[in-house]
Amino acid sequence: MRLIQKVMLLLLCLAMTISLSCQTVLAEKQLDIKGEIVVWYAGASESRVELYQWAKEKIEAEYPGTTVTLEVIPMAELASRQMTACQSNMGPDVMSQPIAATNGFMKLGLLEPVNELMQRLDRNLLEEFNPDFFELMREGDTLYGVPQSRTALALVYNKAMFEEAGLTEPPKNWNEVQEYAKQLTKKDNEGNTVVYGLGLPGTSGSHIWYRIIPEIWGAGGDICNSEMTQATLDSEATKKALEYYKSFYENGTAPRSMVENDQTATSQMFASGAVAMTIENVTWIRNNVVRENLFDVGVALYPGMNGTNVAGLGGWNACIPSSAKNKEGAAVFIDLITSKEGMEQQLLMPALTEVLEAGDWTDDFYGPYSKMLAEYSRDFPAFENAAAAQTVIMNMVQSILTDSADISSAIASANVEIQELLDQQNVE
Amino acid sequence: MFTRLLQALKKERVIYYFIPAAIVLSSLAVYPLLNNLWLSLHTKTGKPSIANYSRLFKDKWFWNSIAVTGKWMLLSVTGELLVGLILSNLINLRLKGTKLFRTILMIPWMTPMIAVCTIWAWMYNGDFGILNYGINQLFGTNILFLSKPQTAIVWLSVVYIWKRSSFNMLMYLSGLQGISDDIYDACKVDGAPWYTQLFKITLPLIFPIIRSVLLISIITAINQFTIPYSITRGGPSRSTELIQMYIYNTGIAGFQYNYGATASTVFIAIVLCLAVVYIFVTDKAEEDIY
Amino acid sequence: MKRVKWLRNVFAYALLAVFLLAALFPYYWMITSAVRDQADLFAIPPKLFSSSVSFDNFTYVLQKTRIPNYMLNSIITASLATFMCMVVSLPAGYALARFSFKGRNLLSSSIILFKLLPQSAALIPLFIVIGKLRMMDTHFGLSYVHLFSMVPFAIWMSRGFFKTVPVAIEEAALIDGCNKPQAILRVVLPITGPGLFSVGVYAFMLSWEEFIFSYTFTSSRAKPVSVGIALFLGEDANLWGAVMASAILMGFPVLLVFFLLQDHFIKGIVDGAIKG
Repeated sequence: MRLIQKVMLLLLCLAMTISLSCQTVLAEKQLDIKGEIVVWYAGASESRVELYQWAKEKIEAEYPGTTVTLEVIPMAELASRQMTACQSNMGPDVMSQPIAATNGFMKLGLLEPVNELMQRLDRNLLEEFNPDFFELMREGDTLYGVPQSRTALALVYNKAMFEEAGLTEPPKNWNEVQEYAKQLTKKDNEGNTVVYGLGLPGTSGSHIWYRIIPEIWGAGGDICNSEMTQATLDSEATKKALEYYKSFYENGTAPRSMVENDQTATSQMFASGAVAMTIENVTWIRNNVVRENLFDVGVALYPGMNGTNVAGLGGWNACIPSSAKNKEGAAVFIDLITSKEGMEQQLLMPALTEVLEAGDWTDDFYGPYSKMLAEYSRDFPAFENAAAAQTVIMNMVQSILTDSADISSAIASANVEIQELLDQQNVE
Repeated sequence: MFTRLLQALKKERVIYYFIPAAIVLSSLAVYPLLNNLWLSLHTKTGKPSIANYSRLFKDKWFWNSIAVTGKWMLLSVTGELLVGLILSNLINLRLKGTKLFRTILMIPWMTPMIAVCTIWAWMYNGDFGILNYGINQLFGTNILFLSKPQTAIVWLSVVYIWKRSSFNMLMYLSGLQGISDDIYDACKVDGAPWYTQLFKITLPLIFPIIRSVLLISIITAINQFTIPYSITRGGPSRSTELIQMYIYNTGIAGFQYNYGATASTVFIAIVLCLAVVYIFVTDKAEEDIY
Repeated sequence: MKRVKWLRNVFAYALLAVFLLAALFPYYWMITSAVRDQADLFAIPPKLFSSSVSFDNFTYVLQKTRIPNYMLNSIITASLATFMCMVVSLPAGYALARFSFKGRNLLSSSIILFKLLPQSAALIPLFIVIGKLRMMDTHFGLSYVHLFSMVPFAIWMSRGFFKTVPVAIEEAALIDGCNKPQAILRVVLPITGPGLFSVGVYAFMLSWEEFIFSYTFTSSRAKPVSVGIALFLGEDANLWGAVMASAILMGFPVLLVFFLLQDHFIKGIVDGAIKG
């Protein structure tokens, strides 16, 4: 008998576990209830939670009978998750996505035009935002998303280390960066490097992409032509950019572990005082160095070959999938998070011109970032298979860093692969 | 009629016991296999075509991942086999404290793979890693564990061997313990040297066990994703991109379901051929031994 | 002769010591890394012995990250998967051990074939189907796909344990007036109980540490801790100390269960892998 009782108890426990998990399955089915707005956003930064929570509470209070369901999706899986959902017509009502993704979604016809919906809410997007922000998400006059934030990279440096090395001004071009990196690199008595001059990412496709493509631009080259039919990677400019990139690793002014580090690991080294300067976006440095009061951080424009570099735009758009069930609700939600009040809670660089030009966003810390954004930034070419393009570039950089290929043959084979990707997307 | 049917159903039949497992396995394994084949023979838009195959056979990164997987299997399977054999023989000496030693040696195997990977990635780190510093100090070398495309796969296989060897140890131990001491004593009386003992008695007697353990090892090694994904992301220069990572990257992360399915179909064909050959060859070897 | 044996033992102990050190050192490094402060953690060159001891990393992981949620997800998923796995596999294992019928050998070998299938073989079709069934990122969906690798192993292991029950005992129970379910419940299960329990524990472990399916089929609500730790490195901060702390939190429960059950467990694994 005892055994039977035990088995019964076990079954009871398991039944409870099952019913618990069944509830999560059932909860999903309520999606088609009218008045529900489903919002998917990235869980990359904890700060965003508050903004979305604020919008949810506000809408639920203002429109009785409406519920907002917030779903956080980790950054690393965001694109694939949104793509599958949209392709099988099971997308959310609002999705926040990195700007690099929007173009692909638009071309596949997965997005709803937003002009008319936003006009009904008295929004005039092209006037309120920098019109350049819509470049990759418009077909003629039809707009397919609302900008939430835009960022461009800038140089950050450890002020105390600069002072110690007798440096007063931040570096302005390649030569100066190389020179500074040498002066900032410090060794202990046994010859171990304890502080590296410059931190650069040596792995992660997107991190290297954001870092090396602007250097190629700065040297006068590009990854492909503007019609995206011809790969143009095989150029003197790419060669110069790669030689510059490699020089730090070679002469020991960049971390020994560079090939293992993505930009996050590099920034962690910056935060822990093992790297004196690096090129990072505003969020990471503010959240992990400035807020933690680790040390004084200097920010300067991104130095390129002969002066300030043009950095690639990053940031987020809010879009409505064409399969959304509650498009009006979605528009109301997007209106709120991209309004002045919403943008002021935005902890990334806000996209709304009015907010960007006011307040803190022009001080010593944010100023250079704002300037990069306003004057020295452009969109990356929109590859449909962005992950594959980034892998090609990462592989090129890694094989040069690790000496497994010489520079020209590495560039040539990367050029062939980029051409293949372009051909594929032009056929389809 | 109905009652008769019910009666017929009530009778105990062997097949009833297999129905649940059959449902689960066909939905999780048989269906995907067929679906892979179907997907691989169609384009993205659903037109029948063999374009995926012709593209795959020309794709140098697919062949790269096959070659990397081959290298990986060679390193990790032989590694765990050797270390497992050494450990089991050590434990089988029945020294004092053996049970404690066995338990300690089992700890790596019981640790979740992702935890193992994070520890090793941190120990290998080129700046802050204790292994990086310690080994280079001790031997006066300048090894960068994860930054050389030629050798990164070796250091990844060390992680794998570290985690998996004690499983092999357990298996071989169960075989060794089945060999009675009389046989060894007889051998000793004959004055045979230790290697004769090893090759003429121990290895042949545990051969059936080596055979099944080796099969498990090969499959587990082929199935590896966590180690390259979390330690090197397949790098540097795609030198540690195992086939599972290739399929994930092209098929799921790159949204090319049909193309990814083609890669898995070809890969499954290779695995099944290998398995058949393996079973055939080892069958033959077993016959030769006895 | 005695001298030779003595020498052999010294040599064996020395070799064992090397292996034990290799097995344990990574844990030393993991634990000390988890309790170091940032300055010691990021010291160049690394310090073998740390002067600082702080539990900040643990409080950080438990209070400020989603690791506790992921642990809960893992517990739910793994329990559910283990339950389903046992329900599905035990009858099959029992039948394979007990009945002789036409095609039994064929069936046994096809189960080996299922063990041989790489997970990536099923990845893309399951990704599409799970998406269409709206089971993406649910505990049930994840635990169901975990059965892919759990069921073949569980059938195989449980078969080994059922074989240890003499048929005569079961027949005696049937003669005593038990019906078949009663006979199984009262006679077979008590004998095989500990063994089957180890099957369950092993199945639980497989689900607990599974990575590629978990990574593909979850995003936020059902994300298990194995994926949570891996993505830790890519998210906001690359906090090695916190990663080590969460790796300890993830590994601890499994190791605890292992220490409590190791004898049964080892027997089950060995029988399941070899004797089949």
